[in-house]
Amino acid sequence: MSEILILHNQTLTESVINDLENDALAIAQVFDILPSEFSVPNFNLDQSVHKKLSQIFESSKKFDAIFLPYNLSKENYLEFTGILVALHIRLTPDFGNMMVPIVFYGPEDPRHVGKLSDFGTFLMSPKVLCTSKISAKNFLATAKMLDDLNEHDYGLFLNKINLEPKNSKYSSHHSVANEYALYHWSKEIGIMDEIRHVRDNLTYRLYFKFLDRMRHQIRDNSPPDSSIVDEKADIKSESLNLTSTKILLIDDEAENGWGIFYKRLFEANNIISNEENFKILRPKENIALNSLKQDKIVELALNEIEKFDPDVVLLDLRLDRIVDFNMNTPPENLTGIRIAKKISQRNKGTQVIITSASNKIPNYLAVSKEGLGVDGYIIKSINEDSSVKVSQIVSSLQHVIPRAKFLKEVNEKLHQITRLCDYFSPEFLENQKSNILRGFQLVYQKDLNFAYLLFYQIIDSFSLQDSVFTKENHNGFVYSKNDKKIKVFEVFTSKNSSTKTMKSNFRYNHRDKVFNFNNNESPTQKHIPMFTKMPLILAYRYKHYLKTINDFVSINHIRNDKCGHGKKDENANVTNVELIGLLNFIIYILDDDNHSDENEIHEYGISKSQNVSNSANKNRVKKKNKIKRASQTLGSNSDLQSLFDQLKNEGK
Amino acid sequence: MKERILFLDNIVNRPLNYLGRSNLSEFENLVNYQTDIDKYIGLLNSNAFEAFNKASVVFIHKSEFQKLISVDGFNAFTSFRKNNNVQLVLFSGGISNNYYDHQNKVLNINDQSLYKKETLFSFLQKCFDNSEPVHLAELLYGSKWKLIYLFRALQLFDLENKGQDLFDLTDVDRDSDAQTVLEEAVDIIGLESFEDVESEIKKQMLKL
Repeated sequence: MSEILILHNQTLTESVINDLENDALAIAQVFDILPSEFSVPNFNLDQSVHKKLSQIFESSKKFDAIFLPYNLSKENYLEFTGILVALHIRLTPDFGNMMVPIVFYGPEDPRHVGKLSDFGTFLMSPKVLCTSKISAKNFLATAKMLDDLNEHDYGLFLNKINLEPKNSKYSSHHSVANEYALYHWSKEIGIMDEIRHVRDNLTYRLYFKFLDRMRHQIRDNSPPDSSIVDEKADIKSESLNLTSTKILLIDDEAENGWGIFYKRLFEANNIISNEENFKILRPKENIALNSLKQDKIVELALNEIEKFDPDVVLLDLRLDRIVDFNMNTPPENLTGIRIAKKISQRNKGTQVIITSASNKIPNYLAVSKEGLGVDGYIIKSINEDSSVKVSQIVSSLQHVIPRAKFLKEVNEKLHQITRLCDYFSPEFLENQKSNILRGFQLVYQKDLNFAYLLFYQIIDSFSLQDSVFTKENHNGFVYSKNDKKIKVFEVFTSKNSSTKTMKSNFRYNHRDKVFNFNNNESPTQKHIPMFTKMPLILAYRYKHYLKTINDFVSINHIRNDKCGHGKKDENANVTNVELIGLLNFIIYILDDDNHSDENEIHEYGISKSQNVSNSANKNRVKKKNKIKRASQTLGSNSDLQSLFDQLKNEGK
Repeated sequence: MKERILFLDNIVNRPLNYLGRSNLSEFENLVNYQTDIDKYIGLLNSNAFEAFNKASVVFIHKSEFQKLISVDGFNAFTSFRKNNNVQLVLFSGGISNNYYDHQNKVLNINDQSLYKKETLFSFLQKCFDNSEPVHLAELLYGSKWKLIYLFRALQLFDLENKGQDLFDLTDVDRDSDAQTVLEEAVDIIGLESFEDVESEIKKQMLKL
């Protein structure tokens, strides 16, 4: 037989203490809680009890039984500190005596104690006894009859006790889960020293010890978590550099440890490369975020997003103390949802990951129903494996960042295209609106093939503009810079037959193959084929025409091979890089800064270029300067945004 | 008998919101609710305790109290309160464990426990109705507050019955012995034997 431990605080007569001290099998230990301890700022009884028990169990000695009175504090009998101490022993693995039988001793009627104590049900849990026979002999005899708890008993014990947080800070599931998740996830990545206040709270507080044991029990029987990653975010990183990613954290608990947790996690996983790439939303005045009113929080968030232009926003759902914690607040009125909506309206490329300790599904349903562009969520849960959860956060970020960067790049290029279309002519922009908007929606929905087709139509439409290319009396003309009208081909009718033949001086190499435009497809058809027309436009209108023609030929191949009805490979998909390439090409042809000053190609059939006055072109020059000035004052995305807004309203 | 209860909460309007204007006016002559907490902490720091002498109970938000008061000031204030029978209630959301320090007449109470209908309101009502000072433990335990003393007396009578000389159980940290504690407890509950106390506990428990 090993030893028994008896805790007391002048609750035993001196003779009993002497008997116990003379018995090799018993250890009597004073356990007192002094009034002076309570005058210490932020005194925490759980912490005091934990530290005292740590000293008692320092030697890792395993006892046969532990005896203690219902109450160990002399002043506050009804707090039943003896039961509190016993629960600490039962719920703390580090003490090494979780499964040891516990015997309460004293003259009190245990039924009275059970009724008065918040922990009264503990007295009725397995391997807990009560005795009024207070002697060394009785203690030793009782211990001989007792066995340790087994796993089943321990489960019954956990189900029997019903602990509450006992602190206003943890009055909601939200705040408990929040701190619990922060503690375990920070532990997982080894930054506990940086969140000491949280570490202390969760190491010492009885309620969190209880949650921890419950979590161990639940985890053994629960299916793996699948809450984090949104499956639609599966665009591969391709050549994108994750370390230049900008992340904004909007969380009222950021200063309480979440900020440092995410920062360290992202640094360790090379998601951010320097401090400037990770920002926390903070009010200017040294005040807590959640002390602001909801409108002010939303405004502050949007200003920061406009300035910082993050790739990813980690966004807490509940940021306002009053509105967000009112049970009657509908999900769409939660501060986080309101901010997500605004982010979505601003630029759909920015990825939003909701972080919340709330497990209320309606909130998330509201998110998906409204199409807010929320790309995943992290539930700060108390019941899941921390290592799995932390790796899921990292993988979800690694997942959404390439998508954010790609969508943002597409979005920015479409804004550029919008401005250039408008510069070209308002009518032209009007005709391209649906291609731009629908194309971006398709990119967002990951249908790059169809998006490619739509964007390609912008090139097609461009080539049909009279100020770009015209066909007059069997001759084809391209307008170069300064409205110079250049004849680029001529159509001959054979003397012996009615066959028409196109002739052009221009030829070029592509993939070691020489292309010329003599005897090409019949130009008698109403629309001259793009494959014929566009290289001529490029050759006679632009700088770097050889490279640009090569780009166009590649674009044409991609269009024919991967998109459209007659595509060669049913499974072939347009890549992100190919789509960006197409957009760059459109920007190139729309921007008349790329027009050549002096055409290097000899015109066909005419010795001298014809300077044809084209009023549309002249007007464009004036308008371009105007738009350039305007775009300096407008938000970078405002043009496309108004286009989106307009089309959205039209669609209703 | 003193009538005033001095109330200093750093969350402005909380007592007002809790009690309601009509109730607060009902308690007008009882509750002296002050929003300028800095002024009162300043008085404490300069040992100018007279403003507190009108009160039988002073409620102060603990975080403000701890932030501003010096150790010497605290000790001087404790002496003043003991001499003038001024009880102190320190409340805060950060208090995890309610605790009544009988010796120093201080109650540490969590703010959520305090701002409950059945505690603060009942306590004030009782102060309003009764001419006798109300024990601070009532804020914690309501009508069963005397059980603190009944159970403590039961423990000590039990030890005495088993041959323990209570004078030998001296508590240096509290500057008292078990006999003195028992005498104080007996004063409060008016009972003088183990059997009487045991019987009273049973009676009290039947009411719960």
